[in-house]
Amino acid sequence: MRQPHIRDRGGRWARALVCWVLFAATVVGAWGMLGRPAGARQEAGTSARAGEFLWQRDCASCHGVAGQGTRWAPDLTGQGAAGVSLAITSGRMPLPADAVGRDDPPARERQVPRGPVVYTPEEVDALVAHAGRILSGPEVPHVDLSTADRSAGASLFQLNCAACHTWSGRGGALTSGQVAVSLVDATPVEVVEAMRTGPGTMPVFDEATLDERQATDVTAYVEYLDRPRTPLGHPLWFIGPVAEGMVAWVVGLVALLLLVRWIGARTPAPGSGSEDHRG
Amino acid sequence: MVVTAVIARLASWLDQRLGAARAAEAGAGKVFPEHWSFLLGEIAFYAFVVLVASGTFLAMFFDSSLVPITYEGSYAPLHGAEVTPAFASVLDISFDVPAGLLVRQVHHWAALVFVAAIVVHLLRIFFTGAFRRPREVNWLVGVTLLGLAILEGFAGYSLPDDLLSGTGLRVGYSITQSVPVVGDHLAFLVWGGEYPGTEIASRLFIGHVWILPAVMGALIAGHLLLVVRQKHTQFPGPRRTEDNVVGERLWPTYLAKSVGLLFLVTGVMVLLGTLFQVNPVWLYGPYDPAAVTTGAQPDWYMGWLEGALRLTPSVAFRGFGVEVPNVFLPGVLLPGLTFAGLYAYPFVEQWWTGAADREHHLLQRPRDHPHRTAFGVAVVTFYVSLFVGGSNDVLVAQTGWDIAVVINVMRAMVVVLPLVAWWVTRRLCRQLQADDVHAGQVERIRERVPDA
Repeated sequence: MRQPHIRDRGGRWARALVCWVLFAATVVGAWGMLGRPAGARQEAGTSARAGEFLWQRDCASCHGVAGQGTRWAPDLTGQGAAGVSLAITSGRMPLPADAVGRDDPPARERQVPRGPVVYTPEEVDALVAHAGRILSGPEVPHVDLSTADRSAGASLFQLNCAACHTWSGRGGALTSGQVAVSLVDATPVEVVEAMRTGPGTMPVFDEATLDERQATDVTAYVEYLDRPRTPLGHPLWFIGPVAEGMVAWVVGLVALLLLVRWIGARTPAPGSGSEDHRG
Repeated sequence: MVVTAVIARLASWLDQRLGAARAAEAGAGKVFPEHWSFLLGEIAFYAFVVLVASGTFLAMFFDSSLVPITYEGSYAPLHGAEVTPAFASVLDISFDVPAGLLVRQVHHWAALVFVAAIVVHLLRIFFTGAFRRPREVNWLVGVTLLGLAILEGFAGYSLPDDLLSGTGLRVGYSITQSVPVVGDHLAFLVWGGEYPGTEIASRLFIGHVWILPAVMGALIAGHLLLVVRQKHTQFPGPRRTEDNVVGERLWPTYLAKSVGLLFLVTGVMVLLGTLFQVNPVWLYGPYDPAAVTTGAQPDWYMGWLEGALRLTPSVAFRGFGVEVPNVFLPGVLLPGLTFAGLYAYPFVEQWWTGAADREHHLLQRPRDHPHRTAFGVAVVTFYVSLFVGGSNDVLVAQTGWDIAVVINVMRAMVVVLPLVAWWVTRRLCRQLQADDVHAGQVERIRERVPDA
């Protein structure tokens, strides 16, 4: 209705509209550039300087130049290269700019979900190498699943992991609104990094608890759980008896109720039917 | 012609020896009132038939021993793991026995639907007043069947010796121990010693495949015989009085329908077993007393007990030198009171309303008994609230809410929602009754003034 009217008025409204659209695009664009780390746009190389540059630009403002932690973000001492590698290859870090410094709940206590990875592989290497130089803690593990013992891993998973991540590795509830994350998207290296560094509320499983071989076995089983065998029927999202009970009622019993309503009478038909007397 | 003659000779041979003709004649002519809600108990009955048939197949391959062995079946991820023959044989049924997994899944779905059908059947009996004199005895039989069905289900859930069944048994052991004075002795008696021992699976197996099904079969037969003897109740309607039964004769109409329902129930169970995975024990893994998993729930019919255990504040007390642990209230007292209440209800209502004097064969509509209906809805709401509490960790994992808040909200729901449900239901019943009166007046005016 308004379109012809604008054209009729010699384009004055149209020009104003174009100006507003351009202005809005500028604002949104600027917001977007500020909102995400500039890593992807910079040519950083693989040198130590590049790693230090990325650390100063994307990490130091919250975690400190030496990773010592600040009011907004936790101390990374002891996390080592493995901890930083886990955080950035799973896309949890760096946080979007608008999420930093929001104090409710304080950023350092918030659980950050997986996100898109913002760095190129070279930048990841540079940043992780820099983290290894400034932080004490485990190295990025080398994980080779080709010789892993999956059934030994299954039993270790049951003992050490299922209590929080559930039997299916799909994640489970913790206290205070936190969750033990789903392991489906975690790569083998991330799984071992998580064991060695204990991110968030997760305990550290160091070499004394699970040696390298055992850690590899567990990881092989975790990888298997990404697509476990489901020989017959829909797996019901690996939720277990709660989902099964729902299906029994909502699918099974409701189907049967509809069927008996179909074969059974709904209202007494007047005058029809045989009659018996009660003895 | 030849076939007819053979059947006739066979029939007369039987008749001469058993007097079968008179019984068959009386049985075949029996009138059953028609209403879809009278088929709910039949759904449960046919689910029981499916359970016996599929269970017989499974029992041929199950091994109830708990002495550890090395798994060497065809499920590769557990190859070489130390498991019990109980667990290994369930894996064999699932991966190596032809059609084994299908039968296992059909059996498990049938069990879930069996108890669900019993509950819905019980609600129909309750809300239509079908338990009133002279049917109190059959109510008692039915409530016993519900209790046995839950026990039977729990025994079956506990057999495969996977992580969930072991966890369930561990809870059961603690609940047994919580009985004052005799708890420990009772637990030792049932388990044959300290938990977990090596006895419990074979004891549960005997109970699950022989004792409980035999007792249930006998009770179901008694349940049905009482219906035949006392004749089925019917809804009020044209020609229907307290002194007659109006409906279809057993032969041929009712029998045809009933056999049809057997096929429908079987078909739905096989479809469920084909379309939906149930109880994937190979993923839960073999039971290890040191291990536990989140998302460990019992099957739905134990959900109200699970919820009670999760929601009841930790209250333990001492008296007369006896320690009453905190699981006693939700684990022993609640189910005890639940079944005591179910058993007592018909008699309490008779005493309360003073209506024990005569027999009732015509059913009541829920709205015509606002007090009973409101009470029933309140009780159902209470158990549904507990039931929801039993899956609080799954709810929290799916929504990201704070579990402490969720638990406290659910505790409040268990107390408040039944009261709200009671009040709302009573108002609704009264409103529906008023609508009926109004509709009746309009009807009468129409009769008097045909052109209105």
